[in-house]
Amino acid sequence: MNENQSFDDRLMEAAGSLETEVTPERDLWPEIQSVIATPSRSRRNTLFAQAAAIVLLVGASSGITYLAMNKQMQYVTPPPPNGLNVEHASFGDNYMLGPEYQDARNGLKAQFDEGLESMTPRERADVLKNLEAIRSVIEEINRALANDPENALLQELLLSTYQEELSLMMKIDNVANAMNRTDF
Amino acid sequence: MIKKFLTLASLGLISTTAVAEDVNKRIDASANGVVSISNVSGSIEVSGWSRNEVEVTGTLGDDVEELIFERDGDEVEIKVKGPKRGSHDISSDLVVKIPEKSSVEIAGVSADIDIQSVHGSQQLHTVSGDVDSEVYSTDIEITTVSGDVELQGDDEITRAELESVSGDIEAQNLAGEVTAHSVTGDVTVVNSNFERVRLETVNGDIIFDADLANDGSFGLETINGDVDIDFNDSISARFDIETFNGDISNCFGPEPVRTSQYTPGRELKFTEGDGDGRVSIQTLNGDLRLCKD
Amino acid sequence: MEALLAAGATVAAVTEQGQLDEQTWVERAQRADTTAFEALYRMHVDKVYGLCLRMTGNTAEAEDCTQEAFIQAWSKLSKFRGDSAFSTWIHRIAVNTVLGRMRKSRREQDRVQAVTDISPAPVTTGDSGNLEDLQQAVDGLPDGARHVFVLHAVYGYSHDETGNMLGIATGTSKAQLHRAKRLLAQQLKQNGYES
Repeated sequence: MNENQSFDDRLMEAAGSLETEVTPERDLWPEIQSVIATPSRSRRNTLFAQAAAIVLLVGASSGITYLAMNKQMQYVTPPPPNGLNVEHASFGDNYMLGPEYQDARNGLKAQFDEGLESMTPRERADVLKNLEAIRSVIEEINRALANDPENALLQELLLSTYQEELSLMMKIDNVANAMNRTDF
Repeated sequence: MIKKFLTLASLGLISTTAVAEDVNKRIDASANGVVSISNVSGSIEVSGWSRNEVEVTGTLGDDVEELIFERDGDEVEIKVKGPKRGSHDISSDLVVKIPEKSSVEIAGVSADIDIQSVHGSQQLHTVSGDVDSEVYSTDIEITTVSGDVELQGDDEITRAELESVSGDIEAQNLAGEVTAHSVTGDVTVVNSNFERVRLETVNGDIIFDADLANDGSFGLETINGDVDIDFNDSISARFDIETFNGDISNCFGPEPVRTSQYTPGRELKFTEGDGDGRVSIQTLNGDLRLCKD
Repeated sequence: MEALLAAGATVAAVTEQGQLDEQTWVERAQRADTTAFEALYRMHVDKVYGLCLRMTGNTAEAEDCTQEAFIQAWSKLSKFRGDSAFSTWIHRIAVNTVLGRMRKSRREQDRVQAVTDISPAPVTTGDSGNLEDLQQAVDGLPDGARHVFVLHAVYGYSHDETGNMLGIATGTSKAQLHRAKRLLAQQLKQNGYES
């Protein structure tokens, strides 16, 4: 290196020669593959559904939601054993949202309720009204799917609407967090 | 509102035990740092100026404990601090001037937010406050629960993310990328030119009257909202449109077809121009009207 | 490449031609061909991992970030239009992934195992001697400064591009670089480097 270069220049030159490509110590592909691969027949549809759920995850503010849904990516076929209480059950007969989804939603619920508490009655009523609107859409689509289980559009819209529900709950979670942080 | 308080105060008509306090403070700040503002209720007005200073004026609510106003390097923090929400009056009106290249991060609950001439990036969050802002060439993210969102662009490339639950979202003169989402509010985007658009509602209606770049991508999803789209005359894209129960009325290109004999559902797939871009629209019950200039 | 050869016949299409075949893989992957996506993964993982590693300064974090970035890329593949290079596109995703995870970990520090700010495992990047000192000094920078330094000084993105990827103003990127250089200079002088 040129003796006349300033420290700054030498620093930048060194930075530019740092390795930009680093091989990971272990093969990371198998785990990626298990998330994106799907056993089902209607590949494009479930792929989209899985992909959409993943996208939701990355925006999640709840660690529980993230982990739970990350493991959740394989659809459960056939339907889960008896005794499992799964609300808003299905994408049609061959697809079930697994128990971890319910855990995730339950995990969000506590902070969601806390968030609601910190709102005015009017704000709270507004949120609950919107949640109700989302839930009635979920019911409507599930009914339609019961008659037409392979309908890709219905599956996509159903998944989106589940995301809307979680997304709304997370937004209220964030309100709870923000209120706590601004230490009023 | 500020004037009203001042008048009453000067007439001695307000109890002196808890008095709405006027604020007038100024500190030096980085030319392009971050200014973060937190005010639960009332209003927050921010405008950019050419000084490397942040100035706060306005009125604090009767029960406000203090106004935090400090600088730490590139960051300036402004926070209205008071006792727990409830029957206290902490409603404060802040008028803030910041170096015009600063970025802002604002958190309010019921406070309305008004931004002008800010050229740095913006993150604006409220619960029920309305948000009214201008954006130039930086990113902007606006989130409300029940507040309305109005965004005025400058026809420069930005990335805008606009989120509400029940509030309406209106944006115009944007360019670059936009994502607008509301559950029951309406979404209206006009007079703009995009590379990437993502519009979603559950029940809200969607109006889009803007241009899509030749290799642009446009995605729209609604459950029950009605959709009214007007693209530019030169739109060049593959169209992939599906609805379960809605009607599709297409001003150009082919008619929709039933997806199956036995179930409802219509789709419309065609290519316009060279088909460089992608337009993808899905509705459950919402009706769609699709036209170009 | 060995893993690819093991994966099957479709792999035979991978040649020295690089760019052209990448496009083929992208198109196939966009049609949900996971083998094609694996080919893309093999082509780009070192660079993505390197980026994650330098931005997080932490091996475990970098591994999670890399996996998440590819998973995200898979779900967003239909939006990749080929106007930028695939590597630039996936870098952007990697940067967003790092930032997203940081935001999350700030809010969830106690709860989640996968995303933590624990003291990092020593990072091995294959740099030697002085460069390793530099790497360690970079790892010790505060987040904002480190991100800008990595993207601008190590990866060569302009301040505009850096600002764009990080969601900050170009000016803020320049300010952060300045800060990074100042802090690095201090740190390195302590390690005995002459100014």
